[in-house]
This record gives sequence, structure tokens and C-alpha cells, in this order.
Amino acid sequence: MTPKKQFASIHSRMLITSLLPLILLCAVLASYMITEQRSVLEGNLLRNGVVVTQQIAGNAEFSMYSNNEEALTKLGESVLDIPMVSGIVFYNNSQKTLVNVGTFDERALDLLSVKTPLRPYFYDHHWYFYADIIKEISMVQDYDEEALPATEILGWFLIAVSDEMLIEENRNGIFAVLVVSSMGFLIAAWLSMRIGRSISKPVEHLTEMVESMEAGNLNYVAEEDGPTEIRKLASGVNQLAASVRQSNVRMQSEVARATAQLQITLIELEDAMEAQEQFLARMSHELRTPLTAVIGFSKLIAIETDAVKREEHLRIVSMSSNMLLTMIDDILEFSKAKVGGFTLENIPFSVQPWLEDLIAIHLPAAEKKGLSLTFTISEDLPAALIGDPVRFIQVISNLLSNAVKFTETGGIEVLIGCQSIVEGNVVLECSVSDSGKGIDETKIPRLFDPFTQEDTSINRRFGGTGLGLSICKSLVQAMGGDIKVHSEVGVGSVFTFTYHLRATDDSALTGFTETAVHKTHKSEALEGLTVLVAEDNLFNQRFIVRLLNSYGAECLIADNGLEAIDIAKRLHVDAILMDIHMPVIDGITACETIVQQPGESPPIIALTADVTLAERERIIKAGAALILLKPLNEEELIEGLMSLVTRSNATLSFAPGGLLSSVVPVDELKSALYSSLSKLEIQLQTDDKASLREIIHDLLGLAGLYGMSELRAMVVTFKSDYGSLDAEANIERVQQIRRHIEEFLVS
Amino acid sequence: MDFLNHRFWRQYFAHLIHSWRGKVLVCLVCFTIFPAAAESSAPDKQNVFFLSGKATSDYVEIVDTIKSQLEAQFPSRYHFTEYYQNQAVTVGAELLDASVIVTVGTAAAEAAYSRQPAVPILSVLITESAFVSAATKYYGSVENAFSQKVSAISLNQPTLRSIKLVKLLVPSAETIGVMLGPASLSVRSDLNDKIVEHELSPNFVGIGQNDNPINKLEPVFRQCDVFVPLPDSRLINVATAKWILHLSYRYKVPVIAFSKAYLRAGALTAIYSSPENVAMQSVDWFSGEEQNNRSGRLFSPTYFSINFNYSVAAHLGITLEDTSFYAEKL
Repeated sequence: MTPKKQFASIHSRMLITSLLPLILLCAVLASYMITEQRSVLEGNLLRNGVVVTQQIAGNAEFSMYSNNEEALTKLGESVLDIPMVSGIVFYNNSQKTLVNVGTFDERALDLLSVKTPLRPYFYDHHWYFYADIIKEISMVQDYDEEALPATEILGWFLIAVSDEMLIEENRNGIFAVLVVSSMGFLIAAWLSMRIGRSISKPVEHLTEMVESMEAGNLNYVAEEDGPTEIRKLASGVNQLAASVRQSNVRMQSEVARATAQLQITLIELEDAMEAQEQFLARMSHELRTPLTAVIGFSKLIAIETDAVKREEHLRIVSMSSNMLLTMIDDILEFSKAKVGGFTLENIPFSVQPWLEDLIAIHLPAAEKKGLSLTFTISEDLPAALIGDPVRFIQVISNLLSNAVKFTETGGIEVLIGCQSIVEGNVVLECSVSDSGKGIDETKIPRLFDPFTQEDTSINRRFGGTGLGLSICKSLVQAMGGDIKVHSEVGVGSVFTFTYHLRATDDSALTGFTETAVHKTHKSEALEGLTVLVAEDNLFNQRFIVRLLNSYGAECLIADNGLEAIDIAKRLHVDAILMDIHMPVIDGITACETIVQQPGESPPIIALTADVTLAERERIIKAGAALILLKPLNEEELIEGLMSLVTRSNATLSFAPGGLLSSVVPVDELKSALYSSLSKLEIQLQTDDKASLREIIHDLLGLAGLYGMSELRAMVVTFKSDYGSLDAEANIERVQQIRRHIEEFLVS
Repeated sequence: MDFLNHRFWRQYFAHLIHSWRGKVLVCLVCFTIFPAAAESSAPDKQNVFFLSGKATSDYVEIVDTIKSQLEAQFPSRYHFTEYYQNQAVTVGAELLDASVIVTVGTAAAEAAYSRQPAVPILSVLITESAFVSAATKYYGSVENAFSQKVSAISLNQPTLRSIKLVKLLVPSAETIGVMLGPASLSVRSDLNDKIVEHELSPNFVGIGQNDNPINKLEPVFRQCDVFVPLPDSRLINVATAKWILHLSYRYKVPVIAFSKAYLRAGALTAIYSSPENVAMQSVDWFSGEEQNNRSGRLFSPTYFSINFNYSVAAHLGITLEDTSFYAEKL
């Protein structure tokens, strides 16, 4: 602490303020007392000297008158008994020295140039007193009328008084004054420190409190003691702290409420994100599944010679294409609803023909499940209305499609009624009721939210985007109506919506027009190329080898990265298909090693199921020329190989059929999947994490390779969850995966 | 000249008597002459002239006491004239009208003596030596003064009283020291006899004007049991009193003094004349003078007072009786 800071405190300043004047006062008083004491002592000395001199003058009268030197000597010696008297000299009136007692400095006589009785003279630490010895006259006559005769001077004397005692007493006085001053100073300092502390301590306490408050501790309560002003200040600070505390509690309450609201919003957002992710996953699956069927059966059509089978294959392709189209339409519709709603047409139409066509569309599916599908149109419904028949039928179609999908027994009924007709304004009320499994009451509030289905099993069992009801709601709201649902689990569901439109007298009616989308495919072979397939999964090896063989390429196989490096070093290959996740040496390390080998290295196509950006960067950095995601796309694979090897963009013509049917027998796939599942079950019991990761990796590879997106999703979920689940739950998960594979393979 | 003619005056007076003017004049003369005649016809009062050297209380008390006593004893016999202080000293022709002159104090006596009036003079408050000195100075001798009817009442108490008092106060005393001065030296032999008569051994010490009193007195004080200083000239009294009292203190010897002032200064006791004593003896003198017109004389004090210094007595270890006891014994 610097001296300036040291004296900046209240305590120090009070100490200085009280002690400085005290020191000055003590110094002044001490000097005054010392001076005064010296003056008093000197005065006493001189007075005593005068008294002694007077007494000696009186006492010496008889001895001097009788000229008794012996008596004078005795008198002088008796005077020397007085401590301060150091000597005395008697002279007669003839200036003759009669008696000299004690020590006497003869030079002091020089002072008596003018003799003034009883006046003290100072010389060499001695005071000298001079007095005449006078013969006094006693009047002893009564009735005396004459004046007293003149007195007679018998002689004189000089007495020497030392000031040593005065000096000694003065020293003692100085010492006493210093002692008393010091004690007074110490007492004052002690009192000042105590008083200062009694003031500064509460202030410091308050300062600590304020600092504590500043640090966030508002429960600190200042002690209300010390001087009145400090008590008031402490009281004020306590009130301030209480006020801040209350304010803080209020703020915390507000923050907690806002946080809770945010958490709710966050949960909702997370739910929405989760729903969106699930939607994307489902979309991926839903789009890929029919697409796979389309691609696969298209190839089969190309090589199938049996007309019946070809027709069946075409039907499947057509159905799958329609499914794709429907899904794409749903997504588009949903997107349209999100960006700005629907644009409704206002054209005259009749409900009945539109409804009959719709029923005809869904009737086969219903009949296939043994369901009755009926519809009823209210008689008070105007024959012709002005509105958008396509959107109207679309809503009913969605509801009807769901009803057929979720109803196993019983029937489905569509009811079109007229809720009100006021001056040509018609409120159409439509309901689709089924005898399906019903919807849990808790699921109903979110039923019309996008990307939401009652549960994931619905999607797994019945497919769909989860956008249907959301689109329906958007359409109904665009039509000025409202949609609601009433359902009982095990009894069935009734979806009801209203549509605001106008009645018309025109009978210009419109109907559905079907359009067909036709797509074409083409392929070419890879004649004369040698491709190194580095893949640890045996099934994948066989699949890729057969695929490439079918295009005329020859394949070399490496089970891990080390073998790939070795083969690439020893043998000539035109291209390398490098799986990234392999034992011994992974694909990235193998890529780096091969690229760094002398000479021109063959182009490397990396195969991975990891689509993260970081993984991609690592792979490219390692030297891969192309990255293909699992499941493999045959066209991308072949075109990639050709572009890398021949540096040309030759148009490929792919054979109809599909990857599975063309290159991998179902039995082998089934065998591989079951083998992996068995290994998984065994490793779960041993809890060998490294082996578990390897098996899960194989399963992911197989699912990806075959396009089993749902299986892949299940395995990914299992991969992330198995560490936190107990053994029984893990086994249950594996059983679920097994059942899913069985269902998939059966379908 | 007619007015010098005897006949003229007879005719004038006859005419005046018979006129109204004459009658008025006669009445006036009668009224004027009769009272004076009446007074002059009464017996003559004596004029007592008081000359006092001082106007202090003692002097005034003496004058007033004498006056009151005379008026009481002799009504309408005296009338009084009083001169104090400087008046007394500078008095002149006034004394010629006096019938009797009373001087109070030495200075007043000397003033009266200097005029030598032919009337009786009584001097009071005067020591024997002072009277002798003044009478000798103004009348040539004491006897001449007596012949001129000059009398005095001395302040000097008879020495015998002091000796008797010594025996009363200090019965164990054997030796008595007596101080004599030039004025009292003449009484030595007579005094010696009286002392011896009282079974005491005298130890006289004579003090001259040039003597060192201490050197003379100290040997006496060493030997005596009681010391009696006789009153002498003022010079001797003043010069010796201090040392007598000092030696008395030193040697524990009681001093029988002759004045109240001596007593206050440190003597054990004093026999002295108080103003009342003096006044009483003066009145006695008037009574005697009335009966016989004799010549003057020096009277010893008839009346006296005794007093003690009890502090000194305590110091000396002397037990005292009441003063009346001693007065009666003396």
C-alpha cells in the first residue's frame, strides 16, 4: 500500500486528525508547563532565598551587635543545613570579613557595586542575596512623644544559593511532563483508534456488503451498530439490499418463466426438428423404396421374356411410380402451403362425379382388404357448385387413403352433406368415417401437425410421408373451412371438414384427367478394365464384383487396406474401389499410401456410408478421386469408373432389373444379414465393444448396399443406444431388427 | 469752652433725663448694666487650662477624666480651656488668663514651663527624669520650679513595688538583677537596702550611653533569677530594652518592667500608671491644692496597674494569679 493510500482511509485520517492537534497541544502544554515550572521553581528559590536572608539578618543582629563570631559561625552553619544554600559571608560595618562559611566565590562580590538589599544576583549557577544587619529599636516607654531613634547598620552578609536543585527539580519536572504527555498521547491514540475503528469498521463492513452485493450475494445483512449516521447508512444499505433482493427475485422469476417458455419452445423446436429429421429419413426411405422397385423391375422387364411376368413387372413399376409421384406431390403441396398457401380455382362442378371417380380409385385397395367403401351425398346439396373440385377431392382422397390404410375390418363411409345454404353461400360438410383401430386421444392434438404420425410404427407398417393430414388441414383452411377428428381406439375414426363455396345453376361439370409419366433407362459395359475392390465385407465384395463383372470388368479383391496397398503395388489395376472402414489399415490410410507410391497411381473411388463434411474432406485429402455413398448407385458407380478410367462421359445404358436381383441372390443377402445378427447377439453377451462396432458396421454396409433405409435407421439408432441400454433391451432391439429384416425379405 | 464746664454737663444731663430721649437712654443703660452687674456680683470660677502634647486616646482620656471628676466634685468651681498638640506647644499669652495649668506629656510641660506663668502648674504623664530635666532647664533647678508652684505626678512607679512583686511572682528567687542608668544611678544604695530587706541578693548593672548593653547585661542575666530594669532616660531605655528582652528569652529570666509597652515587647509583667490612674491622682491634687496653696512638688504615682504577658509566663513556667490579687498585695 502506498503511503498516500494508507492515509486515504477514514481510520487513518481520524487518527491523524485527532493525534496531530494532540501532539501539538502536548508539545505546547509540555513547553508551557516546563517553562512555568522553571519559573515557579525559580520564583520559589528566590522567595526562599529572600526569606532566608531576612531571617538571617534578624538572627545575626544579636551576634553582630555583640561581635560574637562564634555565634555567627553557628548561624552560618545552620543556614548551610538548608540544601540550596552553598555559602554565607558576614561583614561588619567596616567591610571586614567576620565569618565565611561554606563555599563562596569571592568574585561574586564584584556584583555588589550597587548594594540593593534582598535583590538576587546570579553568577555562575548561584544566586547571591545581600542584606544589611540592622540594630532594631524597641519602644518600651508608654506615652512616648518623640520619634524613634534612627536604626544602626551593624554589618552585612552575602548568602550564596545554588541552582542545582532547581535544575534537578526542573529535570524531574520535564521527565514527569514527558511521562504524563506520553501517557496522555498513548491514551488519546488508543481512544482515537477505538473511536476511529468504531466508525471505520462499520463503513468497511458496509463496503464489503456492497462489494458482496456487487458480486451477487444479496443475502448479506449489514449490522446496524456504531454511530448514529453509520447505523442509518447500514439501515439504508440493508433496505437497498432488500429492494435489490426483491427485484432480483422478481427478475429471476421472470427469467425462470421466460426460460421455461424458451424450454417449451425449445422442446417444441426439438420435436419439430426431430419430426423433420424423421420425415427426411422416412422420405429417403419412402422415395428410395419405390424407386428401387422401379429401377429393379425395369431391369427385369428388359431381360424378362415371359409376357405375363413382364406385365406384372410393369404394373409394379407403374404402381411404384405413382407412389413416388404421390409422395412428390405431397411434398410439393406441403411446400406450397408453407410458402404462401394454395391458389384455389373457382369453377363450376358437381360433387357426385368427382366423388364416384375417387371411390373407384380407392375401391380396389379397400376390397383387397375386404373392406366396404360407400359414399352418401345429401339430397339438399346443390347439384352445381362453384369452387375448386381438385382440392376438394384431394382432401377427401387423403382422408380416404388413410382410412383404407388403417382399417383392417369393417368399412369406410364417405358422407357429403350441406351444413348451411344462405343466399347461395353453401357450407359443405364432408366426413370420412372408418372402423379402423382408432387414434389415441393424446395423439389427436398433434395429428394435423406436419411430419407427424401417431407413432413410428405406423410409418413402418403403412408408409406415407406424414404430410397428408397437414396438407388436408392447409387445404381446408384455404377453402375457409375447418377440419376435426373424432376417434375412439378400437372403434374407429371420423374425420369431418367443411368447405365454403357458392351454389350455381350451371351444369358445366369437370372430371379427372389421368396423365402418365414414362421414363427410359440405358446402360453400357466396362470391357477390359481391371478394378481392385477393397472391401472387408464378404457380401459386399461379391455384390460389387458381380456388378462390375456384369459390365465386363475384371476384379481383384482385397479384404483390408494393407492387402489393397500390396496389390496396388504389385499388380496393375485401372481403378480402385476403396471401402473407408476396413480392418488392419483403414481406407483413408490405404489411399494415402497408394497415392504416395512412385509412379502413376490408379484413380480411387471411396465407398462410405458417412456423409459428414469432415469425413469427405479427409477422404479427398487422402487422394480419393471420387466419393460414392452407400447404398451404391449402379449408374453413379459405372459412370464414375468410366469417367475416371476413360476420361470420357460416355452415356451408359443400364440393364433393366435391379442390383439385388441382378447381382445378389436374396438367399445370400438373407444369409449375410442373419449371420451378422447372430454375431451381434453373441457379442452383446460378451460385451466386446470393438467386435460390436465391427458387426454394426457390417450391418450398416449391408443395409446401405441394399437400400434398406429403415433397417439402416434402426441399426444407427441401435449403434447410438446400445451402450446406454441393458442387455435385455439390447436383445429386444436386435430382435426388432431381425423381425424387420424378415418382414422386408418377405415383402 | 462750655463743654468743658461742669455746669454745662449738669444742665445737659438734667435736660436729658427729663426728655424722652433721656428716658430711653436710661432704660438701655439699665438693661445693659444689670446683667453684667449681676454676673460680676457672682463668686469667680477658676480657669483650668489643659495643655496636651498629643491628641491620642490616652491623652484625651486623661483630660476628659479630670474634667468630669472635677465637675462632679466641685460644681461651678472650674471652667476649662484645652489646648492639644501644636496649640499646646505654641501657646503664649493665653496662659495668663489661667487659674491652674495642667500639662499632659513632656512636650506640654516644657511648653508651659517655658512661659513661666505665675499660676500653679501640674504636669502629668512625665517621667521623673524628664521632669527634672525640664524643670532644670526652665527654672534653673527643681527647687525653683517647686517654688513657682510647679508640681508633677511621675510615671516612675516606686521600686519597692517591683521588689514586692518579684517576691510574689517568683518566691524562689534569690538574686535580682537591676539595671541602672545615669538618671537612676542615685537610688542604688537605697534600693540595695530595700532588696536586702526582702531577702534578695541584688546584682546591679549600670549602663552608660556609650556602653555595649549586651556585654554589660549578659553576665548579670547569667546569674540572676529575676531582672528589673529601672526607668531611666529615654535613650537608655530604648538602647537596652531590646537586649534585656533578648537575654531574658535566652536565659529564661523573667523581667519586671515599668511600662505596658515593655510588657508587650516580652517582659513577664509590668507595673505602670494607666491614664485612669493618672487622672485619679490629678483630681486628688486639685483637692489638696484647694485646701492649701503650698509650693509645688514631685509626686510618686499613688495609683498603679499590673498586667502580665501570659505567653512569656507559660514559656517561663510561672503560674499566675489574678491581677487583683497582686494589686491587693502591693
